[in-house]
Amino acid sequence: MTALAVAFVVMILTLLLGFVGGLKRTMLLSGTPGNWIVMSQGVTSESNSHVSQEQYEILRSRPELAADSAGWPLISPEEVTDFIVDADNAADRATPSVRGVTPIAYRVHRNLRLLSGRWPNQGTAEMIVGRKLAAKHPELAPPREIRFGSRKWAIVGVFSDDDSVRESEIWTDLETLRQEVGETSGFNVVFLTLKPGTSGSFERALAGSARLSVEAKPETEFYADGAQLADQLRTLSLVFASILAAGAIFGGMNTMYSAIARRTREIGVLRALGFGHGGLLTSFMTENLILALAGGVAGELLTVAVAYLTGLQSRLMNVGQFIFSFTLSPAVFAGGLAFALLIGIIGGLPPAWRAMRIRVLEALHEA
Amino acid sequence: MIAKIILRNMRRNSRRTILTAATIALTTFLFAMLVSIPASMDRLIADASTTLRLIVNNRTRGYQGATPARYCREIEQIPGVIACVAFNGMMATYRDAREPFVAMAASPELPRVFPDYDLPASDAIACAADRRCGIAGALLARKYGWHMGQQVMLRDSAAGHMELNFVIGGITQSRRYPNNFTFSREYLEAARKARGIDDHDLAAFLIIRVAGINDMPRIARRIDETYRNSGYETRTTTESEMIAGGLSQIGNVRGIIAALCAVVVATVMLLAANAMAMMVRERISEVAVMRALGFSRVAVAKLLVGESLVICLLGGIVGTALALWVFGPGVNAGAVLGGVGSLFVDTRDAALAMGAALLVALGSVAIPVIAAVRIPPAMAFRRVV
Repeated sequence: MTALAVAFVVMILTLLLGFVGGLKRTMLLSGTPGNWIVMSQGVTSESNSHVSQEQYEILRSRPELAADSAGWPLISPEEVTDFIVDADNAADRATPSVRGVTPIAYRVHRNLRLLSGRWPNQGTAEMIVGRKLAAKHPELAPPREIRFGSRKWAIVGVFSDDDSVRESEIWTDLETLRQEVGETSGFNVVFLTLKPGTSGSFERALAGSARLSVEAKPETEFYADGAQLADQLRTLSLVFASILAAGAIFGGMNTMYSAIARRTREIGVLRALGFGHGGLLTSFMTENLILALAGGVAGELLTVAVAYLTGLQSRLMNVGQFIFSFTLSPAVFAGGLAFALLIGIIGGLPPAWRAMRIRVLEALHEA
Repeated sequence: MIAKIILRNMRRNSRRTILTAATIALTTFLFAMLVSIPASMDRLIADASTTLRLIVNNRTRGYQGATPARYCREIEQIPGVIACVAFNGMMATYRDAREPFVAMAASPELPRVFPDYDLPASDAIACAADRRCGIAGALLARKYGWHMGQQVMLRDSAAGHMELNFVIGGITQSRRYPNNFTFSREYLEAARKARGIDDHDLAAFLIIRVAGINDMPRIARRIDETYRNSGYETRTTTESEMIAGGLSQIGNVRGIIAALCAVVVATVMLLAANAMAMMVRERISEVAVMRALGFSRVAVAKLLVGESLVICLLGGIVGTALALWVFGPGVNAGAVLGGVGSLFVDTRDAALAMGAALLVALGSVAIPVIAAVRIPPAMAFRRVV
């Protein structure tokens, strides 16, 4: 029964970590090495940032920028805003981000692939949806006409982006979107690709220019910051599991104390035969750890069973605008087992200590 | 008599009693915390349904969209509308740039639309006279250690990176707005204009207060129809619909909570059943003696079940008291409640958790006790001798 209780605790922990892991994976996969994001100083979300036209021109002339095969610098000004899709079903209404881009964006974000349909044409009210968004909200799959702001937009295709957060977005033409949101003086953010080995001089140039009061971060770092929510949720899961584990530890102690009480005579005999304190401690701790480990393994098997039986593995979930799926990584499994062992050690040590201290004569006398 | 024996029995293996009670206490604490999450959501939604307020948003762009503030003057002409206030949001930071919160700039009609701010009249009047006045919610004020009359500088994280100075002119104690910060919309507009940003009178959203709850659907429809096919189409929802929408940010929170509760109860049930079974097993010989002395099955069962109930009750009381102490004053639940409102454990949640503890007490002890009292005394005696 104690092992089963440990199993439940481990199951809860691995399930929760599986959610958090999936969310975090989606965030971390979003950062492309070599790509940088430029935002106004101090902001954490793209839609709160503002990069002026002038700042963009200065950035565009930096020699550190990589270029595509035609010689165009790989720098992509982008506008990001919320979109509340007018679905009949208010409970499951899609609220994706809409990102306005120029064609160069498809070369800066180089993992973008066209899955079906076609890319939106420049200067038109056409949109393309991310793979995960289209999967979760079939009402957005092309071909479709949809109302956004003051006009109708045509959805003309679906793109993939290596499982990143961009797959939860809708992309469209930059100029059309800027008109729609009344933006005249600049953009929300700028993404750019640097030539290998030039990030140092790029950062120095940014820091040295008073006119460029912007902040640049490698994409990987930006999305790692974004994974903070995932980290918060993970802390929450760990606290929750720890409190439950403390309950299981007390229960386990109960069992072990009474097991030792029952075996007092055995312990006396073992001690009389010459077993040392260390030997007894080791034998009881081994018993505890095997129990805990068995509980841990059972808990993880339960997790896998629950995940498959409820279809968790294949379901797309969302936190805010981010769509992700439940992911059981080896790290999650390892964490679950480590947690089970920790429960075994903390719960087993006091009773084992008590067993070790039983005096031979008393034990044999009691028998 | 029975009570005395139960208390004596509990002390015979006090280590086990304490460990079992501690298990129950911890899990009751968790349970109270879990049930308070959906309960806090329901309370937020239910509270909002009595406020007689409608939110007018940009139809497809939501809170990042725009709605002209002049719509307010037109909407106030609709019969049944009491007042309309225009809001602009600002992501503000105080000292720590990594902890932004929403500061709302509101037009002067604010007190007529939000009478439930519970601000002393003298503060409200003084605030209206000073455009640098900022009104903070109790939790927010506590977090930053703000007091009345204090000068604070907030930084706007959006375009322009403005730094705005405020004087704290009111701290609302209402549990409904623990993290609010509101100030004058004119002040924000003027500050932005001074930096060359003209908002063309566009507000982020409008909130209106109506005379009666029955008017709400009619007025909402009328507003949306009026502005259909204009440059700024609207979506008008009730305040409770708006909050319910914000709460559904983390997929199916209720389902997850229910599942977690079930596992917590199952875990503690296992642990308690184990402890109770040990307790009963030790007492088998006594049960035999008592039965031989003429105690009825019921009397013996009462004794054993009573002990389990007392232990679980003790644990339950400690657990719920802990939950009330930690979560009673309210904590910021952050993402769990979609950033809206705060988490409270109230007496209803505590009672629910106590109920769960009692259920565990009865459930865990039932089988061992039935088995114990069913053994004929003669059979039980065999174990004694």
